[in-house]
Amino acid sequence: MLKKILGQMGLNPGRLRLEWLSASEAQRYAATVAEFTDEIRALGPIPAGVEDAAVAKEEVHAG
Amino acid sequence: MPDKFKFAFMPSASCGGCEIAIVDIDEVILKVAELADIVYWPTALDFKDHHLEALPDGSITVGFFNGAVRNDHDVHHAKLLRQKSAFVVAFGACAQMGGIPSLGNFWTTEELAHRMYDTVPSVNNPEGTRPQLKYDAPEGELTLPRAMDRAYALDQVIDVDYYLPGCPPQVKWIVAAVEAVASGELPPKGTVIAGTKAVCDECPRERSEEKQVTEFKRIHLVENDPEKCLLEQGIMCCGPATRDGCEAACVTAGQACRGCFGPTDNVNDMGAKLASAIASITVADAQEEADRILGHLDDPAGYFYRFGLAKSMLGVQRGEFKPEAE
Amino acid sequence: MAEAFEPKIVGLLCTWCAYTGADLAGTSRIKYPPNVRPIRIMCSGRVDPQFVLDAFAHGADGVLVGG
Repeated sequence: MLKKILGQMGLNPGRLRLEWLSASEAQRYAATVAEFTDEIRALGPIPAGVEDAAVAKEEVHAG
Repeated sequence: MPDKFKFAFMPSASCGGCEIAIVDIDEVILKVAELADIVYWPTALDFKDHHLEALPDGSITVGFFNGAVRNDHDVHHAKLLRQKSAFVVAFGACAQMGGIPSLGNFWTTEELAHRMYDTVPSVNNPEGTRPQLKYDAPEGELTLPRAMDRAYALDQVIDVDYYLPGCPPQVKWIVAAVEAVASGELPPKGTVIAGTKAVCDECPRERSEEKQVTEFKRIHLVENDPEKCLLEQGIMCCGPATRDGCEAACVTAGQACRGCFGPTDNVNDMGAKLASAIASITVADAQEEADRILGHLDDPAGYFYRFGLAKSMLGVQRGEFKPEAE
Repeated sequence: MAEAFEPKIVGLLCTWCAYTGADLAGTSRIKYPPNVRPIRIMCSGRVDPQFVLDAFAHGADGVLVGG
């Protein structure tokens, strides 16, 4: 469900991963992290959301 | 007693329902008229920008702003109202959190314009004509406001003191707000003038507290049992994450809660909270089964953020990924 | 711009399972990428979808839930 929402917001659902790992599975933890890191690296950074100049200026002021 | 209070009502990217809600307070409006002068209300009377500009800064007691901020003229209006008002109230769901206009944030402004002027079935525009921001008419230059990249909630543009939620806000909370001003007993800044719990707390329908949903259905396709929780009948209802104060008006009338009061104080993101609520009532042992059941919900983000996409945590379309259902 | 993109990943890890597993990976000196920032939680059932969106909203490039 959450992945579907991410998709609708224009984010790749692949950026979220759920993995069942037990306390003894150090190898698998390392492998999962390595694999997931590679996947995210392939996806690249999340594009910044658009911010209109007319509004962005005011936010500095309000902040 | 000091001079009369001064109220201003500013419409923006809205449907006009909020303005009707103001008139809807019936005889209380006489009390309002006794209490305050309405110094600006272009929807009801012939006010122009220059009338507002001519007022001294901070001279308006309360400026009520309804509608989302969608174009640069709205930004101008918002800033002007802030400058002229001691207190600014975001009036209605659109001003509070973007409302229906912010559903357009799923797409870029260009995509919206393309849809609007090219591909809507009732549009016949073979030359791809678009409205121009400037036009030299014989009488002089005409201008249109520029649509911004997305719709904003009011507090993303200016400092907001209070929020009156709802689509539209309910009479009793409008009256409560006016009375608070009259008595001088103002709540802390940032208060949402409504309930503090969830709609479920006010809902008269019965809940069994058991997981039982194996299928989600759209509300107009089934007959629902008026005594039982809609969610447990497999009908999507935003009650668990939505602020109360409406006396569960929609649910009592047989309609599911659509979330117009926005999230409660304990909820940061409606979509995430509702996803969690759905997960807790769905019966599924395997991922495939869960996918099948949740697959019945066609447009979860559109449903969960119907009134608040501009204020959701992700907030804005990132354009990295397109769901297949497009 | 010359800098290569290093993803920031938030790891929401159950203290009994994945977090302990990560600990073991450390004590066993297994090499793995440093991109995951682990956050220890008492149970992966405690993970609210809001945590995930919050992570993304604060600039995470990915979220790993380990139970």
